[in-house]
Amino acid sequence: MNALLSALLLAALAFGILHGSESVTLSEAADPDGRARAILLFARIPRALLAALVGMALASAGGAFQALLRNPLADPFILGVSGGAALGSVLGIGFSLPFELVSVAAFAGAVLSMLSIYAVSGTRGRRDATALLLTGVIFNAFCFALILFVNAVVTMEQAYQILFLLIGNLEVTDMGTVAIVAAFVLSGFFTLCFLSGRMNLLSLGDDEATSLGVDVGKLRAAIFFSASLMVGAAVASSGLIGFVGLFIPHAVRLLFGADHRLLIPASGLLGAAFLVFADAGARTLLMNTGYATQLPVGVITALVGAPLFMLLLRRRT
Amino acid sequence: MIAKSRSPAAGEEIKLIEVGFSYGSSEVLRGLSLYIGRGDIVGVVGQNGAGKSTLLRITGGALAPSSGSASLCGAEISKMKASDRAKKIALMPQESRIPFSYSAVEVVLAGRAPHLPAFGFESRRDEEIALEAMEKTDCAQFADRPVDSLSGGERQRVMLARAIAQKTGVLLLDEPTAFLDIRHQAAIHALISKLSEEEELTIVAAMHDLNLAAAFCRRIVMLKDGSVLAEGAPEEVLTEDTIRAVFDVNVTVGKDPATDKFYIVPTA
Repeated sequence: MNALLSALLLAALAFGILHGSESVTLSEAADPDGRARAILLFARIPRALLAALVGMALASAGGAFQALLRNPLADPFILGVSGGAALGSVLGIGFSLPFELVSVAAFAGAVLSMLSIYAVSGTRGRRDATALLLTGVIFNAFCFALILFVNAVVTMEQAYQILFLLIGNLEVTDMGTVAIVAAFVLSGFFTLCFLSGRMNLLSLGDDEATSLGVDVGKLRAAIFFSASLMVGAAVASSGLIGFVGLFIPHAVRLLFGADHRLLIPASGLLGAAFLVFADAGARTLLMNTGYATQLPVGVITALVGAPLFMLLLRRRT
Repeated sequence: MIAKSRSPAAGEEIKLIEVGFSYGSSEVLRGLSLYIGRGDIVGVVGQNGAGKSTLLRITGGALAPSSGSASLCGAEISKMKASDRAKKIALMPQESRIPFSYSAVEVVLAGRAPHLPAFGFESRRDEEIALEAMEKTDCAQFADRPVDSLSGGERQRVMLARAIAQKTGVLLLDEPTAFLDIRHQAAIHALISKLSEEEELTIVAAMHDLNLAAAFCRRIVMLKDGSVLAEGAPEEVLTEDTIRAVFDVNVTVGKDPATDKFYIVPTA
């Protein structure tokens, strides 16, 4: 099954790389000095790879948070880390930092919020799922209040940038950024895959998991930190791309069952493929319509994801 | 008359010595001492909030005692490595809400987790063990159904099968038959007796139904306010006096001449 999804991901990447506002064929790209080759190397390939990494991060972290919180409605943005990352970005935009530094500020925001959420949620002695969830939700609300505050005092141009960030947008990317994001996302992904057997036990309940040999406190910390770092890297590089992290794990569960040992890797692969396709759509949908802009990919994910999900849900019942 | 705690006999397995436990500022267990021998079936009875579940969770290692010690064959339970403890003690908590649509057999297979490496899938042998456990608790017929579509009683049989599939020497059961119909109640208690006799499992069950406890447990531990009020054979412990002391209710304790089993009914 995961082999099938890997093939789907490769197909998505090929499609995403060859598809765009300017059509490019492989034979054109073979010309070392051609424009086609430049488009591929400096625009399409990094962007498709980033889309795949972000999709993988959001979908697998979403599945992991659902197990961690024992709540199928959880998504990667529920535990506050995304709010911290978005706030970092928004402050970066507000202070007119260069693009690279905005991402750094976002990632710093993610790490800081991750550490403080973890510390605060444990102050009542028991760091259970409810404490973690409440802390995260409240932290998010606070961050968004600050984001809207910043949004109200910046220039129109900056406010527009902030809007794109909140919808989720895959910006122009260089291979260096892709490599950094890849380091966080892939290490997080493999850690989550390794922990996925124990996620099954954790989802049965704290006492059950303990009785089945799981050190619940350590497992919770491991899932929270590795998924949060992935989410931080994803939000820092592309803003809050919604719906992927909620919809993909559910789709995988409907298609292949609830066992996390399949669910986590499959969600990562399917999420990656989905976001590459969605981004190809976002880049080309308004092509030849007179609008000079590209859609933010966050518009497409929910627009396509929601009806697809309804369809899956209906087919199952 | 209130029966006194018995002194430890040879081959004792579980020892609780002066165990105290508090959730925040509310003290749930105080100075609780208890000895449970290998192959014993012990029913823990007492009012809601008397500490029955806490006692089980401490014995299962889900909680560490605030004071005193809880040990299994001499090893402090809260200090054992979780993965080692899971091979020796299985805990079936009261009611489990499972948020995902696992199939029933997947839930039972989770009982094999302590016997698998950190990341791995169950072998055919594990599947055989799981199905065998499901047959014992009469739930193999819905092995492939999603657990969230099962009734409370059906789910309880699945959870018990999971604890049995864990293949531990000690089974801790919190209200194992609370949601079961009378046929399955009898069947599960017969199974518990059989497991203790044939496989020498040590079984500790928190129970509300005093008649069931009397019928199926070899020993009864009566809790009041977080410590042991009385302990011993059912007919020694479950008297009109102790029941009034613990539950604040008047009962008649009698013996059915036909079956020689004794019964407890509240007097109006």
